[in-house]
Amino acid sequence: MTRPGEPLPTLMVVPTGIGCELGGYAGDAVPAARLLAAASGCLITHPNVMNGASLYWSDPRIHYVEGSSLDRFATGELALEPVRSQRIGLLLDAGIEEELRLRHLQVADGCRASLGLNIGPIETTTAPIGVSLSQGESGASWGQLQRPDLLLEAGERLRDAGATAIAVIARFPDDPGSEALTAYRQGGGVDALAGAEAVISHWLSRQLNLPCAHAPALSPLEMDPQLDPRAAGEELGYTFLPCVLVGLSRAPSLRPAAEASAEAIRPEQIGAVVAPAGALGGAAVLACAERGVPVIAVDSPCVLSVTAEALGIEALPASSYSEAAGLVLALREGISPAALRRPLLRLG
Amino acid sequence: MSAALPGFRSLALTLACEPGPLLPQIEAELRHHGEPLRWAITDAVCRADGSRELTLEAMVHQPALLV
Repeated sequence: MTRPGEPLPTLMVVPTGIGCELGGYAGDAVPAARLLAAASGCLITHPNVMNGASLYWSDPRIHYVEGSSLDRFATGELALEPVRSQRIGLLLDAGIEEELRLRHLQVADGCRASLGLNIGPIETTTAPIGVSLSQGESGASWGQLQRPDLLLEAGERLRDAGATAIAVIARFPDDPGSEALTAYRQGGGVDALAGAEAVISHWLSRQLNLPCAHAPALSPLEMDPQLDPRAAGEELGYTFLPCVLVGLSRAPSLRPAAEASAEAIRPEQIGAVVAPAGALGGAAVLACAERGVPVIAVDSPCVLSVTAEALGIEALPASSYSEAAGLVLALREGISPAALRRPLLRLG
Repeated sequence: MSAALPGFRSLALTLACEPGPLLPQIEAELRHHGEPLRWAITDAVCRADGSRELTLEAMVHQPALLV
């Protein structure tokens, strides 16, 4: 039985690569996630929300679940089993130059030494996986891999060697002079890397049923005095890896819902889903909406306008993540959100 | 014609949905093209009869592409 005040498992979804005003940059949705975690007592969210390159936040109430696994959780296929720690395998793309590879290995060593994370084994793909970037008609970022088979083979070797989670580091194309990168660093446009990153982690996580997350390997950029604070997390170090390792270190294990233990977070426990108001057209939000789980649509402009009205689903509007947290808290306490708005119409 | 490596294919398509849950209709459509890996509705238009026209962008996995 669920009593008022008990944790209300809540999904927070900020789709990747669509330029959300809050959450479209380098972990700039972390404060909102922390607030929603405090309001709900149990927040399930994905790397795009939590990853700030060298910046991260660890909270036992926040469950770090790769995007396609979060979709499979929302649709009822998977349950999430909390763990004390994961053994993180490092999967390196053979396309990474030696010095850049060493930078990543030193970050992993630093996380072992300073944070006590359990990292290793390490595998390298047998040839470069060939990441390329693209943009859809909508303006959303996408990407492609020339050799997904090599990525999967290396992931299988890690799993067979005992890894229970996988951090992937793939060489991404450098494009330091591009307008898109300049705009992103100055707080506009979409994250051009994000779509390809999602494809990589979705592919591995779906195939291996392990928690996975991705860090792009890139050459350092020249300093930009106009750098937007939301993008600054990615300019503090040589890699984007620390947040991935910290996130995966306590990511819940993925279990078929029918086989989950009593401690698992189960799909039918989801009490709310929070997402940008113009980006409700993904599997997790639709699955929740179609099961009657309250959808909280937050005003956070992005390149899409796929609203609750356009999709014909019901949603509770929130003008900010602060308001969304208030609505989550109301649901957790068993207070009708309608009672918090005016006018309050008569029954009948 | 020869067997190629397994690969990903990007799609942009329009889907006319019947009234009712959208998710099963979207997943069924995408499975015609491969195993859905990542997708999003990028536009939605509601018609007078209650049906919806959705614009989708997607990446699907095709295990055995033939070239």
